[in-house]
Amino acid sequence: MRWSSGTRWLAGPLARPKPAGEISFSPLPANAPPRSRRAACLLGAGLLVLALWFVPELPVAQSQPEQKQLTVYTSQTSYSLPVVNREGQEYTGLLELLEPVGAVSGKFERNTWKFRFGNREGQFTIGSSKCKVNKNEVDLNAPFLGENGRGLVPLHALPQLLAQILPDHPFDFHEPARRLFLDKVGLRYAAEVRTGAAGQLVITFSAPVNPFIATEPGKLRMVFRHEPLLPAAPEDTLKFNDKLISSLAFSESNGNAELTVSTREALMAFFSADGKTITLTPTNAVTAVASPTQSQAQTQTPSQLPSGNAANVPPDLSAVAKPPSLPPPRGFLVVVDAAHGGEDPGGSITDKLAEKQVDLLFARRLSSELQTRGIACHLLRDADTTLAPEQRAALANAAVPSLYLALHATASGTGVHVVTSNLASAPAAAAFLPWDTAQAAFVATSRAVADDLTTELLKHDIPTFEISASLAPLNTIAAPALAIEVALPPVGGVTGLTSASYEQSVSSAIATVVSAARGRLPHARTGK
Amino acid sequence: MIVSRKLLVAVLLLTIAVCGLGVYVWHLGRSASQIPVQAADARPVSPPVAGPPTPVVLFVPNDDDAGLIKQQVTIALPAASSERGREILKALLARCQAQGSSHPLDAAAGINEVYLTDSGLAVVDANAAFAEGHRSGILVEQLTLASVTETLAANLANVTRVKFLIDGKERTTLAGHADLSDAYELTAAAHLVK
Repeated sequence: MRWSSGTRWLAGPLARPKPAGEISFSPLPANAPPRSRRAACLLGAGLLVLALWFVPELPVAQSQPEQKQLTVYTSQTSYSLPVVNREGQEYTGLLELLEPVGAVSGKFERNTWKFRFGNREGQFTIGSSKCKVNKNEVDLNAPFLGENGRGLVPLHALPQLLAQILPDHPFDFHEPARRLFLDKVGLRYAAEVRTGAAGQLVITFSAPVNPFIATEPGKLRMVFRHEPLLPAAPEDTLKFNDKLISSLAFSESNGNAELTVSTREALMAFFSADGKTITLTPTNAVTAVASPTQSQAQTQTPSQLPSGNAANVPPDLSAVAKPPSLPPPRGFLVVVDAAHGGEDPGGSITDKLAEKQVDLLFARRLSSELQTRGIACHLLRDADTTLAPEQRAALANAAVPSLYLALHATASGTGVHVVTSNLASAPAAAAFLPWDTAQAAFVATSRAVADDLTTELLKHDIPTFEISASLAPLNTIAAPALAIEVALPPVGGVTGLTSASYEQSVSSAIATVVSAARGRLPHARTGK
Repeated sequence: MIVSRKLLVAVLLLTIAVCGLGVYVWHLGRSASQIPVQAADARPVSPPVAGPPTPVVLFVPNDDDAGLIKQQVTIALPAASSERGREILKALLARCQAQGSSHPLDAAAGINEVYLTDSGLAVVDANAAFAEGHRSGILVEQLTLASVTETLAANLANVTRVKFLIDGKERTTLAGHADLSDAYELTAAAHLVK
């Protein structure tokens, strides 16, 4: 070791005399030793590399449009599951996938995850790409993962797994679009252009549909989130020899199906035949006969809802001069809100089962029950997403529902707790309702429906308590609104709470009451 | 290898400081371990309540019939209204914390203070365990809030609303459901009284 002197450092190449006017940004003094300066340079370079490494990630994370999901269609219902990326592979939870299909259970024992579905058993090992289902070895093509008590399997391996787990359920898996069809479910459509005074595209479906409709220049898009829509065989695109509407294209991605209409004019959608027929008509032709109020209500509506109303027939625009037979802007819609979700797990049903999961199961079941009765239903959340009470209220109010139902679950108490707002009933004094007390104008109707529901549930031998409570977002809902808290069944404890029979029994009772109350609940968009 | 004299001195001083601190920490740890651990502190945290035995009405929540059961008990109550409110609520919580309660509350749940205002608003400041240890559910949370509100109103004149704080701070919900953002109206709890 030898000592160095200050004059020696100044002789170094980095210690050149600073010209007049030059500004130095170096954190080290000019007489710092060369080794220290070199270290500082290396540190700075390292930080720069780190910064450059992370900066490109930021816009990517911010611009992700939507979460990946897998949609499963069964003969009873349809549901979506979150899909996660791990080491280049797409994964989903096997338990969550099978839960709506039948009784399923799974538990971890160290590195092994054992699950049971009916009389079928499976055994997975974390990190292993082989598993056993009913003593048959299945190649997953990627390692099995265990995260937060969930068993994750690669999407790519679903066909092999389902062939073993559901041998009696034929299925069709559209892997690139992440759509799984069980029991040969499928919904077909046919389309034709009717020429006349104005071109009309009439699309007929084999079952009622409720797509999300959006327009953009030259296109009208219909996104089918819950319907097992399949292409009009054999082509994905139907072409028309029409001057306004040139084609109807089918596509599917991220668990959704989509029909895109290429058009030269803005179109409006009308539903008829209980939601089995959608008629797309140029806006200009309709506004020629529509009253201003009616036309505005229709053109501003992002999603038209199917209605069983016989009057909801598309206008015959080949005879525009005749008295208008426009569909009245009404529809009976129930908004079903699975409480909690995402970062808000709600209460704990068991150590491994959060309330938000049970809420969603009940919501899906109820949605299916309502749709079976021909009632249009909108699920506020159909995945594990975070929604603040204000967002829920805003989304629900925007849908102008006939009834809002929030679904909760609890492991405390038994039966069902039917909850209404604790606001005092007050008539709507003006067209605009105060946000915090919007429910006051509807609370009398809400309590009437709650009374009916309590009576109906008691008929099913389900202990039921009706209370009013301060519970977000009930007070801010501008429609009749109930919260339904499903507690433990009289027998069966926590296991019974998640049993298909209990879900079915409660959901069926709710749907029966909603169906019976249609006549006295306001119809969407009219308030009548 | 070139090392400056100043750098070497600085490193030496830092090394000495680290060693010195290490010895000091070790010494503290050894001293602490020699202090005998007291098994339990039996002394009361607050002095016993002084006051004449007074009959009070409690609205005890009952999960089985989703209601509040009216009970009359006699407890020693101080003269000041706020302290009376706190003692009454402590008696109410004790009912729920007893074994076999039909509406069990966390054993550590407690009331820090009760403040009364002239406008009929009572502010109940509960401890963290009151909320953190509460069971989650619309009905069970609602019963707890309703029982506190009804009990205060039944025993303290002019109380018509109750605002709940947890450890002196506002909280959105009790345990995920019952809204605590606004004061709780007495009329909103009346329908639960059996």
